[in-house]
Amino acid sequence: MTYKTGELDITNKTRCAQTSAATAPEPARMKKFAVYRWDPEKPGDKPKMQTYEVDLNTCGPMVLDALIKIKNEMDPTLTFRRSCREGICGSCSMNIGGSNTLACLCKIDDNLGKATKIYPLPHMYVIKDLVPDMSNFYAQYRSIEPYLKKKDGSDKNIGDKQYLQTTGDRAKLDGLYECILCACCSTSCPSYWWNSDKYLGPAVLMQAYRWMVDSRDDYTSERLFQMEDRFSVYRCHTIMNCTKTCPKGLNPGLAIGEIKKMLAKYNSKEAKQLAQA
Amino acid sequence: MIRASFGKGSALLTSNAALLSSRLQPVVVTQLSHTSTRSQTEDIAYKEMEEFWDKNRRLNRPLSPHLRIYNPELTSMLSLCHRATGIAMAVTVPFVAATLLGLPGDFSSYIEYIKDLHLNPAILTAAKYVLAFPICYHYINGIRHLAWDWAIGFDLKTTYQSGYFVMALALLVTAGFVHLL
Repeated sequence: MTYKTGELDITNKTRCAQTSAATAPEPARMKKFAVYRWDPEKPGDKPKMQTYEVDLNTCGPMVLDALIKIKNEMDPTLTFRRSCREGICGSCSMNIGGSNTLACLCKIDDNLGKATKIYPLPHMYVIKDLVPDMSNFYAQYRSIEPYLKKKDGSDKNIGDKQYLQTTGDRAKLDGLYECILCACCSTSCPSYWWNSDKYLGPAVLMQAYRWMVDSRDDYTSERLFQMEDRFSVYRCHTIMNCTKTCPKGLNPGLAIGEIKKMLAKYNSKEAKQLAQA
Repeated sequence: MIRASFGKGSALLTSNAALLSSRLQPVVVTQLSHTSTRSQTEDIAYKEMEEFWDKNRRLNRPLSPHLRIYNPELTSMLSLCHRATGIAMAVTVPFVAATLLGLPGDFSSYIEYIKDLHLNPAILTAAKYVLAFPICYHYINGIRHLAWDWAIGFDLKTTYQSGYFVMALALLVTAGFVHLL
């Protein structure tokens, strides 16, 4: 179609009007993020808070989106762990707004008047900025032997047959196997803060329970016997911060309660003999 | 056998121990009671734990903030209240009893003495609240703890509902004791 200058077809005019309305700039919604910073490579550096302002109109809805935007556009030195961005890997666990959660699942609070405070997981040694040293947590997980142990003896027949399990027994694992080991619960527990060297913490204890209660595992008594000391389980005082903070909606407090019940009921002398056999 | 154990029952001791332990982590990490039967996996795990403490002390890394930044949740606040009221009673009841044993006169003479001071009744009521609340709260929350020992009421919704209920009931019973007795 040919046009004279300044003269437009009606359909084209309305289309142009629509696009020009859509591209009219929205007022920027600036949100403040106060983030914990510490650089090990700066000699004598002390941990401090650094505030960034992010336009929420050009940012995804989750706190992880904001952190990535800050790192991409404002400060490339901001350091944090992240991977799946969908709440399944457990990498981006940190303390946001006072509670431990996954940054990729935590919606940014729309209230522009308040800054969102972001800290690393509480009472953990900081490697840099929001990255804590998780080695102790992983070592504690390793110490409970989180794998199937059978008393069959022979290793030759592994994989020949399925280990059968009733649906009832499989249901016992629901709410336990979904743990992604993000450490939000353990680092929310004041008892774990004061005793992280000897108390195993809710995450590891829930996994210990997951193996105790698995019908295919033959070492339940020995697993319980491993907890027979003042610290591994019994530093839990049912504070219940763990269940409150779990970003996957799991209940470590319940698992620990069940372990305590099992410890009261099982035959510890027999377990000792089995363990030392 | 536990080596170099710091944490004991009370929050005060454990927080002091935390200050100590964050600076002086035990070189040997706890050996659990079944040392003789430890598997290879556990050996590796305990070795890793020792290396963790050694490395972090050596590098002098900061500890991320905890108490001053963590949200006060109903769960942790009620638990703290339980511990605080427990310690308060464990300290004051024997102390008062021992003091009264040592001082001349009997209990009623001291009540008379307080009556003769003619204090503002508001102060007396406040003091009665302060005296009655610990035992009411600790007792009622104690029942909640007993339920937990049987693994009853652990889901988050029930924990919160029972928590609010316990606090409300404790305040109600305290008010009852103060104003009706």
